[in-house]
Amino acid sequence: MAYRRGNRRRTILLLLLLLLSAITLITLDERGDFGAIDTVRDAARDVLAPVQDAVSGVTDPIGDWFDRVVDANDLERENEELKRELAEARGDAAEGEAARNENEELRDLLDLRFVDDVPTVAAEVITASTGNFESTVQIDRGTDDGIAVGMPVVAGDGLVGQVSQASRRRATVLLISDSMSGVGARLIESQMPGVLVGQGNPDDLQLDFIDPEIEVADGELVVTSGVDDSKFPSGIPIGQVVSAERSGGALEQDITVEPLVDLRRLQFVRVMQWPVVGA
Amino acid sequence: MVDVTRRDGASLLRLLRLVFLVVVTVLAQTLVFPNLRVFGVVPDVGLVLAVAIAYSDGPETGALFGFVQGLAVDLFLNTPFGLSALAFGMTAFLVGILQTGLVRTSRWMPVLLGVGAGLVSGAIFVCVGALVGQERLFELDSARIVALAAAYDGVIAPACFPLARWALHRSSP
Repeated sequence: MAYRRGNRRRTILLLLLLLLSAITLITLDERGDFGAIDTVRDAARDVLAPVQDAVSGVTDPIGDWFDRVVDANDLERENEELKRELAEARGDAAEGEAARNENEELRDLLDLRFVDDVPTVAAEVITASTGNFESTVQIDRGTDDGIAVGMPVVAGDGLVGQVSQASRRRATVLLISDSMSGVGARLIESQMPGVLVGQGNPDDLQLDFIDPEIEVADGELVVTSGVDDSKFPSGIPIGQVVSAERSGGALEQDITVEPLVDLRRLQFVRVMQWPVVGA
Repeated sequence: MVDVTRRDGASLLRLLRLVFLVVVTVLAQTLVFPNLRVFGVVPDVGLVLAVAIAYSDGPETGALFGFVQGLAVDLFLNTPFGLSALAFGMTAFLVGILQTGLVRTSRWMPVLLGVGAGLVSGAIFVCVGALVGQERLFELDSARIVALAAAYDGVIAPACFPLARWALHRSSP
């Protein structure tokens, strides 16, 4: 047996040393004034980048197959839902043209062509988060491509998140669904501003600080508020309200928003080279 | 414990195999397992290997391996650097201590240890993380994530224990 009573003192010393080392590293990293940790992290990501490029061709199809196996029930349910929606859409076809025109006008009014005015960098999502307690993705562009920490990231339908770490060849995007994410947002009808916070779940965001007196309709669009010094340009679509509840005496409504972008299946994104506050 | 001061070939080979395991595990954790999520969670391969090493070689080797493995994983996470190292190292240490008191073993032991270690390590990660300012970790959903990840750890454990035995065996070079 490797562990003997005679070794107890050495074992306890080792345990204390490891504890102390870990607590020191955690404290230094949390205080954010020890740049060496970020340097090592960035270097590790850059070193791994060529390996990632080489193996992603092999691992991506395996991942897709695995997703299909694990999500088989979800896909079946989604298929049924899509069939139902298609039937409804056919029924609404007559109204479609008018609605499209109205939508175009609204977009013009609200300046929702969010990418037109800001230069962007196209990027491919390389991998999802390595851990279980964060909602991030890694993209195949870094500081060499003009990406910096804090830049907004969008996909075809709207806001995806914000760059949280960037090395020379890679960047990490903190998704809007991460519980550390908070986005200044406003409801499109009432123009009421609030803060959209992640719940650690790719399907649900929570819109905070909306007055109980404000009328909020299911399906109402939520966009970035773009107030002064905002981290995001104004008018980027984020999601749609799926439920709004008022409880007696509460100072704000309980509003759940579904992201417009499918955060589970991100493949290509655009990083907006938006001026970073404080940069 | 791996005695790095002993310059004999067998010890050196053992050390090299352990370093090799750390590298391979980090590659698997960062490149392969993010694509193999089940109910949105990934297993902690490094933790399970550390536990397997602690079970085979005692608390010191297990804690050291877990600590180094955790640091390597922390390089690729947004959570505080050192948090996984603390959780992996402490859990492996506990398993190493527990192993000294076991009088009999069973073929289900790797699975049980994998699940148990996943729960303990997850609890350490969440509690210490919340203490150092990551309050978001201290939410009800974290319990679900820890439980699912622990179950996944149990599933991969039977494959990790032979790897640990291979890395630790003392054959002549």
